[in-house]
Order: sequence, then structure tokens, then C-alpha cells
Amino acid sequence: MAKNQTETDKNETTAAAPGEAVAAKPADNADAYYADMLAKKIAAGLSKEDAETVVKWQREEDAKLGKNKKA
Amino acid sequence: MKHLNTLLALTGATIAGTSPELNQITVANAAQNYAGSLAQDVAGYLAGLPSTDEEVLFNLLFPGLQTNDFFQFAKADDEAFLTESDDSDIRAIGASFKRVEYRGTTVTERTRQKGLTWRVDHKTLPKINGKVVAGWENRYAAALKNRLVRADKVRGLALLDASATSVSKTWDAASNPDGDLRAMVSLTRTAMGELPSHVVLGYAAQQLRQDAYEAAARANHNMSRHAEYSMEQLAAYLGAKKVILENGIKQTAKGATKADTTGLVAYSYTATDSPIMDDPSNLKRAWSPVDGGGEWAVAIQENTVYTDITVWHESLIFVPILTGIRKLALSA
Repeated sequence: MAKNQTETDKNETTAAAPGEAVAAKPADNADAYYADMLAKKIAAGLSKEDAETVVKWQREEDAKLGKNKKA
Repeated sequence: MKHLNTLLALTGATIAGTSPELNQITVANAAQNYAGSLAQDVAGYLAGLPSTDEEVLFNLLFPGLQTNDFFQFAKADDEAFLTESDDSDIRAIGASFKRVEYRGTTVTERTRQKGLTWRVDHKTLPKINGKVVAGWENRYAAALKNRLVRADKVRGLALLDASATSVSKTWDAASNPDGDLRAMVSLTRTAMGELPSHVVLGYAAQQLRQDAYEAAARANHNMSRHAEYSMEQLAAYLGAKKVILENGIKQTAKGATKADTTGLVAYSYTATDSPIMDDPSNLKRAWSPVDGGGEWAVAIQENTVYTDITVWHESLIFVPILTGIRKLALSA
């Protein structure tokens, strides 16, 4: 029982629920992550130029915090 | 005012309750406004209505300025605080003054027409003694206006979110949420050159902030008083002009789960309360006059068994200055 409970806890903390989309993190695939961010910003109403500027700033901000080391 | 009827009679105007005739001056009262059977633009349907909380919040978040359908604005090139710290503003004998210029980038934009039509079946209208209760068009028009305000607010918040540079923060018993907000305000100040006029706190963010300060596990109990701060006290603490608790709710379909219009996020930016086309605001809302000359228009198209009520407006929320718009993405 105790073992099963431990297994359950482990699963809950490490595995995504079935069918759940796992959002890409900057360190996993930085280019794809920021390309997706750019598309969302344009969709929200920013001009392409503005969206690119904000994504550039965001990338710099993330880099400061060591979030996108693989970028 | 008690002599109004007499005065109106002297002008040849008809008084309430009488039917208008061709070439006759009439008093535009409610009974006669509703008498039309053709499509008509009647801005008056919304005139004098008290602002709803939603509209007040919307105007606070995105102060409006009147423009034409097409308009131009100068986009800042981040050169508002250039300073001659090298003494180049001191003219040498016989020399000219240093020549400077501000260029900016001129952008042409247009307001978008946004509206909704509500087909009201006459069978659904409340009646007293067989007669429809008067003033129902106003109530339906007001409801449509509120829905349009909410849609534009959500659109504006999406633009604000897209324009912001974000930092992720955890708010819990071990953290200091108001310290994080102060750091965000400070970043806006450094980028914009002045303290932000707006700090926007999502409803869920405010809940998390209060939970963090109320937590029994908090080591510094003295900080727990922050949980009771009003938005005015928080603004004074942060040094921002105002803190807006954005506690709106949206629903995308009948019966669908209602969601916060702003969740676990906080923003800081600058927007002047009474904007002009070229003041240094991060966000502005341009609106152009519609039929009737105001910000909102109403068209009533009456048919035998139903009436179409259309409310529309023309506006565009835009970002003339990107720099300084900051966001905190929060988690527990």
C-alpha cells in the first residue's frame, strides 16, 4: 500500500496527465518557443515589427535569468 | 421646468403623447422615439445611462481619445530622455549650438467597427395590461453596449499582455509579492523615464498575494498587514499613480465555465488619463465618432414580430510606446 502510494505520488509529480499538452520550455527548444510567442503576439494585435522587438526583449530577459541556456 | 409645456406650446412643438405630424416640431421624448417603424440611428438610446463598473474599468485601463476613422500617430523611438551629460549643450565662443532633433516613426492606423445585433422577439417582452413595458429598447441597447465594452477590454488586455516583457515569480509565504511589484514598477520607470501610471493586478493574482501575506507559515508576521492594503494604499506603497484590480469575468459560450479576464498576472505601464495623439503613453484607445456624433450608435430596426437592435462603436487600442510595459507571470 505504502509502495503504491509512493508510486502514485511519483507519477503525479513527474508525468503529464494523458492527453495533456506539455508546453515547450525555453531551454527545450528555444527557437520554436520564441517563434510561437511571436505568432501569438501578432495574433493579439501587435505589428510584426513590434512583436519581434518584444520577443527580442523577452529573450534577453529570460537569458538574464538563465532560462534559455540552449538558445 | 414646470412651465416647460407652456413654453413648448409657444414654440409650436407637440407635447408628450401627441402624434407627430409632417413639418411639425416635435419633442423627442421616449414615446415618440419608439414610434418609428424603419431603421433609424438613435444615439439617444444610450445617452444619460450611468456607466457600468465594466465601462469605468475599461476607461481606466485604456483611456480614450477621439480621432477620425483614419489617423496617424508618432511612434516613439525611445529617445525621450536624451541628456547632454558631456556638456555638448555649452556653446563655445563663436560656435553654434548643438543641433538636435526628434524623429519618431509616423504610423497610419484606422479604427475598427465593432458591433452586435440582438434580435428581440416581441413575444419575449414583458407586458402589463397587454402593453409592452416602455423603455425596453434602452435596456437591450445597454446590455449590448456592456457586452461590447467587455469584448474590447479583453482585446485590449490581450494586446497589453502581448506587449509586455514578462518575468515569472512565485508568490508564497516565503516571498514578498509587493517587493516583486515594486521591482516591476521600478523597471517601467527606468524604461519609460517616469513612474508608471498603471499597475494592473489580476483577480487571481490579488488572491495569491493575499494568501501569501496571510500564510501562517510567514516568518515576518509584520508583513501580513499588506494583505489588507486597499488598492490606493498599494499604489502609494509602490509609487504608482494607481493600482487597478482587474476582476472581470468572461464566458465564451452559453453555459461555459466563466473565467477571469485577467488571471495570475500583474502589469505596469503608463497611460495618461486624458490622452492626446502624441503624449508619452504606452497604450491608447482611439475612437472615432459614429452615426449621431458620439462614441456609440444604436440602430433600431422594427419588424412586425421582432425588432433588431444594433449597437456599434469604432475604436482601436494601440501601443505607441512598447518600452516599459512589464508583466509578472505568477504562480503559487
